Amino acid sequence: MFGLKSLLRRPPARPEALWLDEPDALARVERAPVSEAAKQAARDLIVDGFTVLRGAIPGELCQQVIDDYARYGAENADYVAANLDELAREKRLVNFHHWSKAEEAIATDAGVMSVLDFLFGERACVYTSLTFKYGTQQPIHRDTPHFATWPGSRFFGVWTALEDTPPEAGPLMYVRGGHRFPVEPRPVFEAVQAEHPDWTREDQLNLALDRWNGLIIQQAPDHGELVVAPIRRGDVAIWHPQLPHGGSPAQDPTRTRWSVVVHCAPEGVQVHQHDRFFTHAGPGAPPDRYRFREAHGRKIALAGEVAYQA
Amino acid sequence: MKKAPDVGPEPFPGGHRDQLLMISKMMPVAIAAIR
Repeated sequence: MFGLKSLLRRPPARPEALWLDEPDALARVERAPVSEAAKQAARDLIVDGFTVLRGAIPGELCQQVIDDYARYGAENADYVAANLDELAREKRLVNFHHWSKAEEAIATDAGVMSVLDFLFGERACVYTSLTFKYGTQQPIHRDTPHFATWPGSRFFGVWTALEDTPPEAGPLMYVRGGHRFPVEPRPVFEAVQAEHPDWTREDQLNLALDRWNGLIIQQAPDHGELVVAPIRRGDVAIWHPQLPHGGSPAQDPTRTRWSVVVHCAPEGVQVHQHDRFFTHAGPGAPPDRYRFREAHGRKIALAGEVAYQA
Repeated sequence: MKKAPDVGPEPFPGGHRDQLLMISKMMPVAIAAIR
């Protein structure tokens, strides 16, 4: 139904695609002087848009992040209490790797980063991170608007399970092979502007985001099947920037699903946000947004402080 | 008071999250046979 040959004939979803999206990508993998693990990750991302590095992070380090989060909560009790959702669960915490040395170590893990170097074809760095205590139950979406790059698709979500994620916790799901169909952002935003010329730009952009992801949800089933990935503590999942994915519905929303997603880009490529995604026409990239610090020999962007996402 | 993080909104800020979640839930789901 979704054969490899027909998949590879589809055009890349954005111009100036990653080498992984080029027609000869599988042949280039076989010629590359890298580890078999890196080659398999590349093959998976070319065909499925998703790969898992089994047991890449030690379980003790996963537990240290959970312990650090407890200490952060104790030291910031009022702030945590002010950021609970309707089920009294903590929202997702942005950039915890700037506070937790254990999470910083996960974000810059040498083995994982060397795989990313190969996948980008350039040296990888850390942009931002999200730490989850609970599953998101997010609708299917692409990350591209929130991690817009010039050239395109220079971004990977790198998701580490800090504990096993059973079905009742709402594990990660994705549309296998759904990373190649294009949905242009600019016409979506222009239509919203034409319909709501009196709205603020922020409201226009927010509606454009919903509509654009709505098109992804609508079209994705024609390009691949929705699958749930069984992932265990210490496994690292990497997905293509254009892969439609989400958090599957939790049977028990009080069940924890401790995880960290680190957002990575090449060192020389700045990551931009949904405003640029819908409006930047080029030529070239928008002006730089942030500087870097360094840890474990890797650059880490100074892009926002540790805070819960509203 | 902490400043809002500089990473933009969650993916569905336009008020249609629940509607889109409902459509997502209607997709049949398989378990991936990952290595």
